[in-house]
Amino acid sequence: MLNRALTIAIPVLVLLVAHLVLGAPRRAGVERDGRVNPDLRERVEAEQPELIMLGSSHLNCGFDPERYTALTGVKTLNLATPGANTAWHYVVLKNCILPASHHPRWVGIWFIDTDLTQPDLGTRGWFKQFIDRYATRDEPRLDRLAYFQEANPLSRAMLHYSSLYQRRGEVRDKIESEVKRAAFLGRVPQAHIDEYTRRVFAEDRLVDDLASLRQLLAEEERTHAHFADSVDESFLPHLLALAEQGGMRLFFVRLQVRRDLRETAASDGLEQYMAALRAWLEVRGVPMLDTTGRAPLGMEDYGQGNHLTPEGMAKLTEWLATEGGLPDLLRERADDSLP
Amino acid sequence: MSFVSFEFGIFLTLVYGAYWLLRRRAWQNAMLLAASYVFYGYIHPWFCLLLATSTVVDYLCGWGMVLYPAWRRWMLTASLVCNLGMLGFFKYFDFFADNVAILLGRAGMHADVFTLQVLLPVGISFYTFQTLSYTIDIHRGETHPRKNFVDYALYVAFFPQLVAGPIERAKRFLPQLESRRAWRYDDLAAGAALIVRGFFQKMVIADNMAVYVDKIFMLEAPALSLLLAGTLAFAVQIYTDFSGYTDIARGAARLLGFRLVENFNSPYLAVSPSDFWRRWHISFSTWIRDYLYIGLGGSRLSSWWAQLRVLLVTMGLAGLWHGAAWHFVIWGLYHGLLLFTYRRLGFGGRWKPVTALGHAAAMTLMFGFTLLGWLLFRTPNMGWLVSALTQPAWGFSGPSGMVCVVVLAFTVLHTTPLLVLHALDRWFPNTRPLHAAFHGAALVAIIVFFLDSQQNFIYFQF
Repeated sequence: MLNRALTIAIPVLVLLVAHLVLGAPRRAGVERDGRVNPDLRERVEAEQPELIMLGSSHLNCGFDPERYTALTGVKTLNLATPGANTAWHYVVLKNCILPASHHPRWVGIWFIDTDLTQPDLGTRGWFKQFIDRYATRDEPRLDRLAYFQEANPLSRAMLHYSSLYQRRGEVRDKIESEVKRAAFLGRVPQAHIDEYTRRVFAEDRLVDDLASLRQLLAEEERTHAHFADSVDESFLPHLLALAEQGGMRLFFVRLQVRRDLRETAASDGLEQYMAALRAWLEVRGVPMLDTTGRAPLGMEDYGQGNHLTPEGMAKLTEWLATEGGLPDLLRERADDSLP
Repeated sequence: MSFVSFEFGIFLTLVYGAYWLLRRRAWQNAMLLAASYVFYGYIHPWFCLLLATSTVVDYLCGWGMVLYPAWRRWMLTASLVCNLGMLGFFKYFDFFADNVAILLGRAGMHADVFTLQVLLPVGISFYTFQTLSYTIDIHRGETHPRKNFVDYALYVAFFPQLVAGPIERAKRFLPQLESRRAWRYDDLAAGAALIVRGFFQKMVIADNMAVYVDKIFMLEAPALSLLLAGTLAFAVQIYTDFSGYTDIARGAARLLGFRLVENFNSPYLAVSPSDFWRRWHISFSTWIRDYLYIGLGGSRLSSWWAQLRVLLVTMGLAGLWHGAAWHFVIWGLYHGLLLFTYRRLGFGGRWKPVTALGHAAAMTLMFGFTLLGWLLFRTPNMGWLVSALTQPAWGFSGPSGMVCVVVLAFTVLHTTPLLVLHALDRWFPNTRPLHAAFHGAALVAIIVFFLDSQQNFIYFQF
C-alpha cells in the first residue's frame, strides 16, 4: 500500500517542487510596458508617403522605396523590422499608422508563402520586443491570436495555471546556455557560438535538393497550409478591417524565395493554399501581387537565406515599377474609389 | 491519430473507461475493435478498407487451409499475394517505376513511366506482416484458425501496436485476447509508467535531437566532424523515437490488461551484429528470421557463398521494408555483410566476449559499425553521402568544429537520462520510489522540452 502511495505521491511532489521553484503563475496575459513607441507614427507624419510597404528584413533587402519613388513618382516608405509578420503589421497599422495625422493611400504587406495565416510567427523570443515596442498594455486580440492560441484545452489550462509551462522558454534557454558554456569550459561567449551556428546552417549552405526541401515543406504544410482552417484565427481579416477603417487600400506582395527557383518547386498543398488565399482576397477586393515565377531574379541575386543582394533588390524594385505591374495595380485600385 | 496529440489522450481515456466498465470479454473486444478502426481511420478513413481487406482475406485463408488441406498451399499463396501485393503496390510501385525509367534511359530508350503518387497508408508494413504471421503459422501447424472473427480482427487492428508495432505473433497475442481480463492496479501503474517513459523519450530526447540532425543532413557539404556528430545524434534520435513509441504502445496495451512483446533491449550495448539484431526492433528481426531467413536455409547452409547469399537477401529485403529507396537497401545489405563477416570470423550467433576488456572493445566496435549503418540509413541519398564522405576537411576548427562540439554536448545531455533509466532498470528494478522520482522528473522535462511543432514518429513512415 505504501509503495502504491509513493508511486503516485513522488511524481506529484517532484512536479510541485518544480513549480514552486519557479514561483506562482503569472497573470494570464502577455507582459509588456504598454508604451507605444512614436517613431513610426512620426515618420509617417513627417514624410507623408502615398504608399507604405510593411514587412520584415526581406522587405528592406528586397524593395528600394527611393528608387521606386524615382521611377514612379509615388512617394514610398518602407516600415520594416527583423522577423516582422502579421502580428507586427497589426500593431503597427493599429497603433502607428491609423492614429497618425496622415494616412497613405496604399499599404502593401510583404509575405512569404503561408506567413499570413501564422499569427504567432515572429512574436516570441528575440522578436517579441519589436511587437511590444508598438503594442499597448491591453491588446486582447494580439494576445489571443499570437500568444494564447494554444491548440488544446490542456495547453490552455497550463498556460494559465502552470508557472513551469509559462516559463519553459526561459528554462530551456537557461539550460541551453549552460550546456554551451560547459561545452567550451566558459571560454567562448554564447554570442559567438550562436553566430557560428547561424553561419553553418545558413540557407545558402543547404543542399540544393528538392526532395529534402519538399519534405520540410510538407512538414510545414501539415501545420499551416490549410487556408480555410486558419484564416479566421489569423490577423488577416483584422488587417483588412484596419486598412478600411483608415481609408487605406491594402494589397499584398508575395515574395519569391530560393526554393521557387528550383524546378517544380511548389508542392500541391502550397498551390492549393495560394489559390485559396487569392480567392479569399479577390472576394474582398484586395489585390495580391505574386512575384513567384515572374520576378527576373536568379540564385545569384540571393544573399543570406531569402534576402536579396543589393543588385537583386535593384532588379526587383525596377521590375515592380515597370513590368511587374505594381503602378497599374495601384492605379486600378485607385479608380475603384471613383464614383 | 498520433500518440503525441491531445486527441489521443482523450481517446485513450475514453477507451480505458468504457473498456473496464464492460464486464464481458466479448463486449470488451468488440469495443476495442471499433475503437481501433476509429483510431486508424481518424485522418484517412479509406485506410480502414485496406486493413479490413487484409483481415478478411487472411481469416478466410486461415480457415481455408484447415477445411481444404489439399489447397493449403494455394491458400497461403493467396494470403501472401494479397498482403504483399497491397504492400508492394502502395509502398513500392513508384520506386520500381522510377528505377525502370532510369534503366531504360541508360539503355538509350526514353520511357514515360506512369507513377501513381499514392499516399502510403500508415502502418501497412506492420499489419501486413502481422497477418502474414497468422497464416504462415497456420500453414506450419503452429497455430489454429480462430472461429471468433472479432477476436481475430482485433489481433490485426489492435490500436496500440497497429501503426508501428511491435509486430505480435498470433500464437502469443491471440490467447491474451481470448482470455478474460481483470482490472489490476499493477497494470494501471505499469502502463502509466511506460507511457510517461515513452513520451519522455519521444518528446524530450528524440524531437530535440531531430532539430540538429535534420539541419546537419540538409547541409550541402557538411564537414566530416559535423557529419559524425550528426550521425551520433541520429543514433540517439532513432532509438528514443522508436523505443518511445513502443513504450507508449506497450503502456496503452498494459492499461487494457495486455502485454505486448518487448521490442528493444539496450541495442547499443550489443557486442556483435547478431547480438544487435536480438536487441533492436526485436519483433521485426525475429519475424524476418523465422519467416524468411530460416525458410531460405538459415544457418543450416554449409557453403560460405550460400550463407552470404541468404544473409544479403534477408537483410536487403529487411532494408527495403524500411523504405522504398536504395539507401535503405544498402543499409540492409551492409548489415547482412556484417552478420556474414562476424560469423565467418567465429563471432556470430550467441558469441560473447569472455573478459571485461574484450566486452568493452567488442561493444565499442559494434557501436561504430552501427553508427556507420545509421549514416547509410539517414542519408538523403547516396550521392549526397559520397560527396559528404569525400570532403577534404574534417572541420575540427572554425564554425563547423564549434557547432560539432555543441551538437555533441547536447547529445550527451539528452543521452544522460537514458543511462540513468538503464541503471535504474538494471540495478534498482524493484525500488519504486526511485522509479517514481524519475517519472516525476520526466514529466517536468516533458513540460519544459516538448516542441511546439511535433515531429512524427520515424517508424510511422514505414
